[in-house]
Amino acid sequence: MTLKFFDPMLMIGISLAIVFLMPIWRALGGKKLAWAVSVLLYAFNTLFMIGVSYRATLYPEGLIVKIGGFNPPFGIVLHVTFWGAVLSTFVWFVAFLSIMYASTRNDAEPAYVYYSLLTLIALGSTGMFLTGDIFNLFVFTEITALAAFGLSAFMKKKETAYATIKYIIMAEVASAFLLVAIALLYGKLGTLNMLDAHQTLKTVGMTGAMVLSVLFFLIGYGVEAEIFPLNLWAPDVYRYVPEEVIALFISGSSKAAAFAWLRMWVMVFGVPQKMLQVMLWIGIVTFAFAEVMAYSQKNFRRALGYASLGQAGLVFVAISLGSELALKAAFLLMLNHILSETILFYIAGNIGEDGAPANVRIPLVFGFLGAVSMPPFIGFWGKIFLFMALAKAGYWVMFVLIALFSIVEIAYMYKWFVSLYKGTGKMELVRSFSPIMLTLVSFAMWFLPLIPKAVNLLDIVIKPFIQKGVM
Amino acid sequence: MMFYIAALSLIGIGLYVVLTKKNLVKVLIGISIADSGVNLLLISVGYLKNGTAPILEKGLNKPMVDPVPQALVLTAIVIGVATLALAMSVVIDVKRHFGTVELDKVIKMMRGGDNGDA
Amino acid sequence: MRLKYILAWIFVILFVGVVAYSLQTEVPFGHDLTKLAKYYVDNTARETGIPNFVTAIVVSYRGFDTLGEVTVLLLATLGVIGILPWEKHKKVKKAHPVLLWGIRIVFPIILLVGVYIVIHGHLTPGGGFQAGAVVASAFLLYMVSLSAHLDLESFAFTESIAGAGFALIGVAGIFAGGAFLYNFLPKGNLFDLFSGGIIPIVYILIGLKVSSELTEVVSHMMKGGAEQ
Repeated sequence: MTLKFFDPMLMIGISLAIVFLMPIWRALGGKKLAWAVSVLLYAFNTLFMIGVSYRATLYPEGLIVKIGGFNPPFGIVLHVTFWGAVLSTFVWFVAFLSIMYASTRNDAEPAYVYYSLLTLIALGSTGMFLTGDIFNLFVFTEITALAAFGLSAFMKKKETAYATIKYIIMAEVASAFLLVAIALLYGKLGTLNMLDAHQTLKTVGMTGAMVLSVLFFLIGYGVEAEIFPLNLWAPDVYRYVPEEVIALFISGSSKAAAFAWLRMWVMVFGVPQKMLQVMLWIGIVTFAFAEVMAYSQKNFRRALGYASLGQAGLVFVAISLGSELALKAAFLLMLNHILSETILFYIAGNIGEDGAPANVRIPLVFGFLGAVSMPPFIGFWGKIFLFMALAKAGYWVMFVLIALFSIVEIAYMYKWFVSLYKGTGKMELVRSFSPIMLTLVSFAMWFLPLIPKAVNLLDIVIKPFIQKGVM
Repeated sequence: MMFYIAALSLIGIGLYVVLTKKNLVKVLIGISIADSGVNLLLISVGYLKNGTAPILEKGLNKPMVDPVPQALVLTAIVIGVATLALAMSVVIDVKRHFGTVELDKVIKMMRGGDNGDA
Repeated sequence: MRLKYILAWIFVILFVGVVAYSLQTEVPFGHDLTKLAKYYVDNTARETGIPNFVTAIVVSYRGFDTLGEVTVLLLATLGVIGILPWEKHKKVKKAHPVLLWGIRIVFPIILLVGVYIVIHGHLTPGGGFQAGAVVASAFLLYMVSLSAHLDLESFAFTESIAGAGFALIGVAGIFAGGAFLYNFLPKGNLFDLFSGGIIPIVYILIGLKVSSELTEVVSHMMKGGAEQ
């Protein structure tokens, strides 16, 4: 078995075939078989993506996988970066934990549809992380979005219907903007391949149409990447939708949209300096708004939802800044957000009258430490890198603002922690599996930036995104 | 030029409907109008003067229009249909729970029935 | 309230004006072919062996998009099944005799047209998606006129096997030619019905999948969701 075996297309093709065959699994073995097939698929995909991630480290500029045997830009290619591969590994890992968690649920009917939707949101996010073609990115965005709509409304309750319809309307208007952006880009540059588009753009320059295109891409991905004011759908969804789905929203659709923005803003448009200030302020406002709103919430899940928006704002700032340090910060903050908020949401779904379940106290501590970017969590390094990047670029006002609102975040998180820690609620054995696993992973991840080899790894992460000719 | 303006006006009409109407069904109609506008825009971007359909025929040698946007639009149309179906079923769900599809009434009912966590 | 309408108008007019202006100045209507388009116009017939360039792009060059597209349709079906509340079937008024008798004549013809469109998808305008819509319209007419419900289980099976077939043909390409969706069958002669390698096969699978999926969506909406 050589490394060539780890072709991401193999995984995507087989996963799709298995999802398509879901009605047949159900007819053969009912709900149980559908569940078992999904669990095996997620476990296999997690391991497979670890292999792909390892393979991606050997290609500093990113591994190009041709589809259909045509050369880029004429055929679609996957552009597998280490960053994207790691995030997709996490998506499948979280999906695995989610479906273990969902096995105790008996109100999600028909179950085989639920499992298919879980698979497809993970698969769509994986496609968004890996693809190297702008229109293909749009298609996977829609797959992720539709799976998210389906999961969000799946419980058929009053609240989920209300939350979902707002989400759908915003996301669909955004997707129309996305297509206009693609029309502008294709008309002007005559290509849909990301790397090729960047090369062409260097000769064309940032003209008016390209500026419009950037703005429309921002609107298009801003809804799912939770950028203010396009994130107003999110608090209700985060409040009412089951926690295993929220885990996939955090690690899948929202991260994938942020990554798509990274691709467009850094890889295709090459961080246009003219618009940099605007983007940074949008990110800061997102962060500030979310933290202030989170502070005043009386419901823990709603507060967590707003905190999650705040993290998205930070990631957006880091991506938009686009320097080496900032990109490293973005990577670490993304991982931190996936791990810590997912743990907290899993626990938040099981809060009783008097606080959090007692058998997940350690995950609870870890989740809160991670949410405020403290050690032993990887977000600690992320935030430090972000501060360093802002200082290096000379944005002192933003430096102070982020520090200020981070203190707000610590304040309300501490309040919630105190009120939740002394609980006696009980989580079932299967259900407590997910937060405990995530805690172990997050603890292991913290040591990464301390190992000299791993610092090297961070360089590999950002290598494909460093611009040779910034405009 | 006229094609661009027509296509963009369709998108504009759709956006106007989404921005001003409260009825969810009307909002979905607006989104679908905007979608058709986007599809027209994509097609017009690929137009070539005096071009013909990008299909080879024996003994016919005329310049062809850009086939790429046509392929993209085929994808975009299907995606639009799929989203519309999904959105429509959510609207049916909303109607079942709230007895209305007016968004402002739905929001009012949600705020009213909320037990203090809004 | 007045203000809202005025603001919406201003926004819409600004949007149309700015985008139309920048498009017209930078990408004038009827401009020359782009780099991509030139390549496709010159090389498609040679590389894929079929004369319909749109089909070549949809199924071959950008076949991965199309796989994503049928996934989106699957998602619509799943969403409708999952979200719609199940209600007992309501009594529907009996259809008019004209419809009742007309369907017997029209139904096979529509099916035939659909089959023709999908089989010639790589030669003439048409293909899997168009044929899928046509065939689904036949079943829609059937449901409306006879107020009967179809056996959705068999539609679901058709759809899943066709979809899995598409994905697995793609995977087979990895082993046969080193790339997903690689066209590993002989391409045949241009303009022949049996030409283009995997393209017609994939398009027929897409036609099956799209038609059964659209039928499922419509029929679930008419019934009001899946039985649970």
